Amino acid sequence: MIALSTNRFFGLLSLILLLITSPLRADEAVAVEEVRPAVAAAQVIQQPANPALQAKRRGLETIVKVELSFLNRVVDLTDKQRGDIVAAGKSFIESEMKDARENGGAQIRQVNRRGVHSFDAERRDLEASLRKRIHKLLEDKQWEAYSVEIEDRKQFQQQVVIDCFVSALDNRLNMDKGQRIAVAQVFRDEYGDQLPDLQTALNYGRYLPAFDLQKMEKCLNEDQRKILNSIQRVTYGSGNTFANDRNFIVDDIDLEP
Amino acid sequence: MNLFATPLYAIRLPLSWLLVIAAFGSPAMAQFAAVRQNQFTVTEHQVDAWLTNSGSNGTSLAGVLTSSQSVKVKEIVKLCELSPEQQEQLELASQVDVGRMLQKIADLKAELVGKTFDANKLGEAYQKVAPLGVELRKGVSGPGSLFQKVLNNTVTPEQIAKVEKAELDRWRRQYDAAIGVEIAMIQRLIALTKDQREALWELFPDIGPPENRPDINLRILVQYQVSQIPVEDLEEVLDDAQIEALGRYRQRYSGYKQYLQQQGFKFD
Repeated sequence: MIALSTNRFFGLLSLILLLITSPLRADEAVAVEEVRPAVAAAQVIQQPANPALQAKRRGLETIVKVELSFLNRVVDLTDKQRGDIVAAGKSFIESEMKDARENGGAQIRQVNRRGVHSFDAERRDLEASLRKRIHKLLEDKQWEAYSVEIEDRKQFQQQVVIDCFVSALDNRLNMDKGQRIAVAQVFRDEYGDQLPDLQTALNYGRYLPAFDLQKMEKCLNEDQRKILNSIQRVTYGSGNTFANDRNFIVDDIDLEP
Repeated sequence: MNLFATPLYAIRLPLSWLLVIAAFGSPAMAQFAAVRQNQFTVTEHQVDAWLTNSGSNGTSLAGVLTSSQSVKVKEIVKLCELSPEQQEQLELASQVDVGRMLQKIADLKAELVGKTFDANKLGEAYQKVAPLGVELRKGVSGPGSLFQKVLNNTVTPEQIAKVEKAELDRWRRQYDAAIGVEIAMIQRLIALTKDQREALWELFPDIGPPENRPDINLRILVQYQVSQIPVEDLEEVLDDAQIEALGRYRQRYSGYKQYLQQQGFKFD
């Protein structure tokens, strides 16, 4: 008989516990299911849905409802087009959900220009994908009108975020008009064609985005530079998920099956 | 002693790991670690961050205060075309106000910096800092300051009016920008068109700056303002589905009035 040392005894005990408590492998699960199909089926029914996938669906529905509602306001659609576009929206949601399920993650980890996950960036990406599906259902004139509104919307968002930063900076730096214009241009150049995340503006100058502010410093005097450099620069994170907007969105697009 | 050169290193490393595992594995040691973790020593950096109500990047608070006053004086000199003597008087008054504030900060730091607090009593330290933080963020040259007294005695009423106009314009730019961001947020909820955005903007009431210029989050103000736009006016701009959705949003923010009044805003 082999005498076990204390260490070996605890080692074996740990191994046994690990085996007992570890989740079943896929092939083992199939074997159990064959023996106890009714129990397994009941477990499937009672198993709570994946909360991340549920949130994903809520987020997608929010985006699709608002975007299609927007399209419906800016373009005169025929009844046939409206039906086809809603169907395209539903199909878009299902294909995104399929992708999320198959790729194991509920979220598409879209990053913003600073390499940080951003729901704003994710939303823009999803809206662009949705628009590709809508494009073929619209006549050229309709598509053009829709595109003009989308560009206006984008320009508006960029402008208000820049205005927010410049006015907040002005409150601390007492800039003159020329300086305000120059600083706004620095922000505009920095953003380029990118749409700034709205959440970046919500602190109203208490923080600044983690930009290289050297260009801005050139527009300022020594005291203003000192104040500018005292403002903490942060890399903005995810912010609020658009799934949380669901309770406040316009609800005139029916996506129910 | 070079630890890597000693033959003991070979046994010290695994031994140290065992000690770490044992320490955090045993309930008694875990509690000990938790007690240590739940104590905080107040630093100068922390007091600065509490005072400014934001993260501090290590810049000297004294330097920033002096520069903040300097940019104000320079603006007034430019707006009012002050003589060098008048400028000097304002600068001296500024220095006195800044000096008084720095003394208050120094007294506070002498009381707090280096002291260790339990986590559940850290709020007591913050409470000591908070009133001075409010005072600081209002600005050292506010009502009652030597700067204000000297300014009133140095410049003419017409020049004062120029300064006040510049301050009001600055406030309006901030308020307008906050309205813009709020409309951009609303646009993502109720699908506003360009025309609707512009018309909705016009419905925001004009409002003057709060008394004493507290450091207020303007988003709270504009969210409250959205909640106060009369429905009849919204009906001119939005359709039924949009009004219904915005109604839920407006309801959420309609309770801010008292808070905003406490911050010095006056509503009709």
